[in-house]
Amino acid sequence: MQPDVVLSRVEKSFAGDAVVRGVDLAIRRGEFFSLLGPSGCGKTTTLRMIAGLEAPTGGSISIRGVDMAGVPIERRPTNLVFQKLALFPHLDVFDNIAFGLKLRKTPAPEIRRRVAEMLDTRSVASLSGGQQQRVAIARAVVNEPAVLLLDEPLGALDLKLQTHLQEELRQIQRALEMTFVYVTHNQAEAMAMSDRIGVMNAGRLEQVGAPADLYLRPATRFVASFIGQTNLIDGRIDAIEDGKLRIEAGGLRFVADAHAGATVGAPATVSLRPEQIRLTKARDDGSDALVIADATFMGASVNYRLQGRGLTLP
Amino acid sequence: MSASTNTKPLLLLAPSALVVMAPFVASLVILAAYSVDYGPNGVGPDLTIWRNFLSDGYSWSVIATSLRLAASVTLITLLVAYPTACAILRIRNPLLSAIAYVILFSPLLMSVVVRSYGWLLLLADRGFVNSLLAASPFGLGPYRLIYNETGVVIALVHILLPFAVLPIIGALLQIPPIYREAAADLGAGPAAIVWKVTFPLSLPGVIVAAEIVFALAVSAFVTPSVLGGGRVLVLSRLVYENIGNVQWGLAAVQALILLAIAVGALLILERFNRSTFAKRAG
Repeated sequence: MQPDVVLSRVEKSFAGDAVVRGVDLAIRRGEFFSLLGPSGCGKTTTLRMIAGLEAPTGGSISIRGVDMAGVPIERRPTNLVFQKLALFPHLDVFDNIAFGLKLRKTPAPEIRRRVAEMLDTRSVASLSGGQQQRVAIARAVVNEPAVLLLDEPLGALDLKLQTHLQEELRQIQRALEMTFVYVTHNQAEAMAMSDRIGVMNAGRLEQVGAPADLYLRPATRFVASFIGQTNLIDGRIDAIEDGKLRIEAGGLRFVADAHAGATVGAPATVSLRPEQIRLTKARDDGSDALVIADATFMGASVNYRLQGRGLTLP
Repeated sequence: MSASTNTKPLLLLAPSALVVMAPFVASLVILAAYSVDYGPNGVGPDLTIWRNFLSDGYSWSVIATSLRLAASVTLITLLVAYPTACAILRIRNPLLSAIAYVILFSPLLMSVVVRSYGWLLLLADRGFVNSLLAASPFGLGPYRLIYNETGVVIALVHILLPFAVLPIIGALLQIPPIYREAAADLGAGPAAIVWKVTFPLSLPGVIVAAEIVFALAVSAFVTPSVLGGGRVLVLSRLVYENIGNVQWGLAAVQALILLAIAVGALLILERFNRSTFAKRAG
C-alpha cells in the first residue's frame, strides 16, 4: 500500500542550528506511528513540519502522494493535537470541536451531529481529569484528517489517566483506521500504542521498527539504552560462524545473529537485557561467575546488581 | 482565608486610596452641595437648579452633542487603533519599532492648545487638507472641517489614539501564538484567524481602550472649544462658561451629569467585558 506520509532527506535548522538532519521516513496508511526520543531530538520539529507549522530547510514531505512544499497549513489534510492543547478559551467545548467544521462551511445539522458523536461516544462527564485532552483530540479528529498528528498531548496527566487515554486513543485509531503520528519522549507510551516507532536522537532517525524489534534488536547503542533497561558491554567480534557472531565482551562470551557488514575483529557492543540473564548456582570451579552484589525488591521483580571480572551489571 | 491575610492588601491599598479617593469624594460632596444650593429666597436646599436644567431642551441638546461626539470619537479611534496595534506588533526591526512608538506618542508631546490650533490651520477652508483634496484628481471640496463636529472628532481621534493603541497592543501580546497555530491547523486562513481567534481574544483590551477613550473624549474641553469655535457645545464647555458667569450651582449640576455619563459608559463597557470573560471561563 502507498504510504500516507513520506519524508525524504528532511532537514531543519534554526539560525544555522541543525535540529533535524536528513530524516527519511515512510509512514503507512492507517498505522499508529510514534516518534520517540529525548527532548530536543527534533521529534516535535519533525511533526510541526508535517503539519505545516514549520517549513523544512531541506528535503521534502509528501502526504498521500502530494508534495506538501508550498501547501499552507490550513490546506493540509492533517490535524494536530498540541502538547499544550491550545483549546480556544473564548469558545465553549462545542464551538471548539466545531471550529474546523464551521470553517469548511459544513451544514449546521451535520456539525451538531458530528460534534455530538464526539462527545457522546466518550463519556466526558464521567471522568475527573483529562477532559481537556479529550476535547483537544475531538477537535482534531472530528475533521477526519488523513493524518492525525499528536504532540505529547497526554504529558500533563497522571500515570493512571495517561494509560486510560492511551487505550482510548488506540481504540479511536483502530475504529477510524486513521494514520496517527504520535510524538513522545515516553518510551512506555510509545511501546503501548504504536504499530511502529521511529527513535530519534540529535536530529537523526536512529531506527524504525515495531516495538518488539526495537527492544529485542536495537540497531544502535542509543536505541538499546533509550528503550528499556539494558546492560551495554563493549567488546569485539571474535568469529563469524553459520550466520552467528561470536563476541567476546568484558571477559564474557556471547552469541548473536550476524548482520551484513560484520567483520571479525570489529568492535562490538553487547546489549544484555536484565530479564535475559538467568541466575544459576555457581559452578564449582568458580569460572565465568558474576556474583550478586546487591538486590533491590521492586514488587513484581527483584533488581540484582551483579559483579565480577571488572564488570558491574545493574 | 484568614482575617489577617485579608486585611493586609487593604492596608497596602490604604495610602493610594486616601490620595485618590479622599479629594474625589470631598469634591463630589462639595459639587452636590452647590447643585442643591439655597434658593434665591434663602430657603433650601432644593432641586430647583436640577429641575430647571433637566426641563430645558437646550440642556438635552448639549448632552446629546457630548454623547454623540464621545461615541463617534471612541468608535473611530478604535477602528484606527486596532490595525495600528497589529501593524506595530509586526515590526521586527527594533529601531523601526521604537520609531513607531515615538510617532504613536507624538500627539502627547505637544500642548493640547498648540495641537488644537495646529489642526485648525490644517483643516481650515483653505488649509492643507482642503488644498490637498482640491489638488487631487477628483478635485474634491472644499469641505467645512472646522467650527463643526467633524473637526473636533478628527482632532480628538488624533490625541486619543495612543490611549487606545496601548491596551490593544497589551491584549494582543497576551495571546499565545499557539492559538493562531491551532486555528490555522484547523483550516483557518489569515483572515479567519484574525476574525475568529485573535480579535475575540483581544476584546478585553479593546474594551479597556474604549473606556479610556470615551471617558477622555466626553470630558474634553480645549479641543471642542478651539475646533468647535463656540459652535460645538459640549457639557465641559458649559461647565466652564457657567463658572465664569458665577453660575456655580448650574456648573455643579452639569459637572455631575458629565460624571454620570462617564461612569455610566464605564459600567456598560465593564458589563460587556465581564460577559466575554464569563464566556472564557465556561
